[in-house]
Amino acid sequence: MCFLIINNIMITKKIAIVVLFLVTSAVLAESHISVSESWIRTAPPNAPMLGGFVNINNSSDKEIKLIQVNASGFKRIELHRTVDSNGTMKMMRQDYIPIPAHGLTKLEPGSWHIMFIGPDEVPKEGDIVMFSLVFDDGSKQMVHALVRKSMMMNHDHNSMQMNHD
Amino acid sequence: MQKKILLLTIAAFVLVFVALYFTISDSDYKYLSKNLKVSHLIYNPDKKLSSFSLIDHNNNKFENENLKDEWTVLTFIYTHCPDVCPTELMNISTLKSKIKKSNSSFMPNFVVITFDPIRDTPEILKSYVTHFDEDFLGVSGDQNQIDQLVKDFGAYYERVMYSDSGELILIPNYEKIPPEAMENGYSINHTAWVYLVNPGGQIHAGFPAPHKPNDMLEDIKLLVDNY
Repeated sequence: MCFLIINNIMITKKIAIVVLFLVTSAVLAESHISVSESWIRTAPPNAPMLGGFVNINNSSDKEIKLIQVNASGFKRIELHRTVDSNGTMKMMRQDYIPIPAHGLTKLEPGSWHIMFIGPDEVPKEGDIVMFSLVFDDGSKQMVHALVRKSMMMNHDHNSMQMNHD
Repeated sequence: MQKKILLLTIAAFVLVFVALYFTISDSDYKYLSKNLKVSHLIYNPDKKLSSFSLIDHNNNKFENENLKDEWTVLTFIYTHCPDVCPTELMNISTLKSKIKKSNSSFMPNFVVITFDPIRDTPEILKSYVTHFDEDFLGVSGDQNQIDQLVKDFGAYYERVMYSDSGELILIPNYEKIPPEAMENGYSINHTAWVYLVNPGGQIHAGFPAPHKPNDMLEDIKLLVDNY
């Protein structure tokens, strides 16, 4: 009986160590990713799709992949990339979006983006939409994206060029 | 003899006039082509726009006559488009604001035709396009007639869907859209040009993406002034 209790304590300890290790790993991995300039483009009240954009920075030595986006209030969420193929704009669904080691991937109009499909309700300009980015290293990032017309009010010069002539 | 000389003189005048006319037209064309920043002159008087009858977002007929007597800025979109089309419509809206601010009496009409009338009914288009600018006029209607117009404008589109295993499937335009595509959704690969239609109701110039409203405005002024 005594042996069983000791054994249980040991197993519990082992589980606790494993959980602690996993939590620590997740926290450490999370620190490699930082996000900025997140926004969702305003859309007509009957828009069936919304485009989401964010800059993702990877400070680690290895490429990290964005593999999933989670949010409530949408039928589904996909990762996409707009590709100009000899003048035809192709919307290519992606299994992941790579964030290079010590690099930055910009999700922006005309390039990589998040596609929010079938919104329960189309958010209005000025609203904040929350979504979670899931990466292949096990880390997650919560994003609070402002709903706005474009990057026009943004101070990022490159992004301004995309939309603000 | 005098009659013969008179006829020869008239013939010579006609020849000189014709030669001069074509020389000037040719030089105009070259001048325009050289000075256009972001557009291509695609006006061809021998290539008329096909006869069409579509429906605008107020459920009125939209036909060739609606493109006549005034300049029109025209583009093709579909409302399930999350990236390219909204960018295009926002840029056209910015272009319109810049034309308004340029203090000229010139103001073209703005027409937005859907590639995808099956999903984009006039009612859906109205709500969608007027979100970008209240003066935009959405046009839907018969798919075959839209396809003919798409061809006339030199535009292109193709529907694509994904299978359950994630495989990309192209839906040819001549085939009926499969029920699973209607249920699960499809996207459209498409060209993203903005067109300028002249008051004769003919395609005049085309602006490929990316669209920069300032440069577009300069080209439009040049094209209109030299029409």
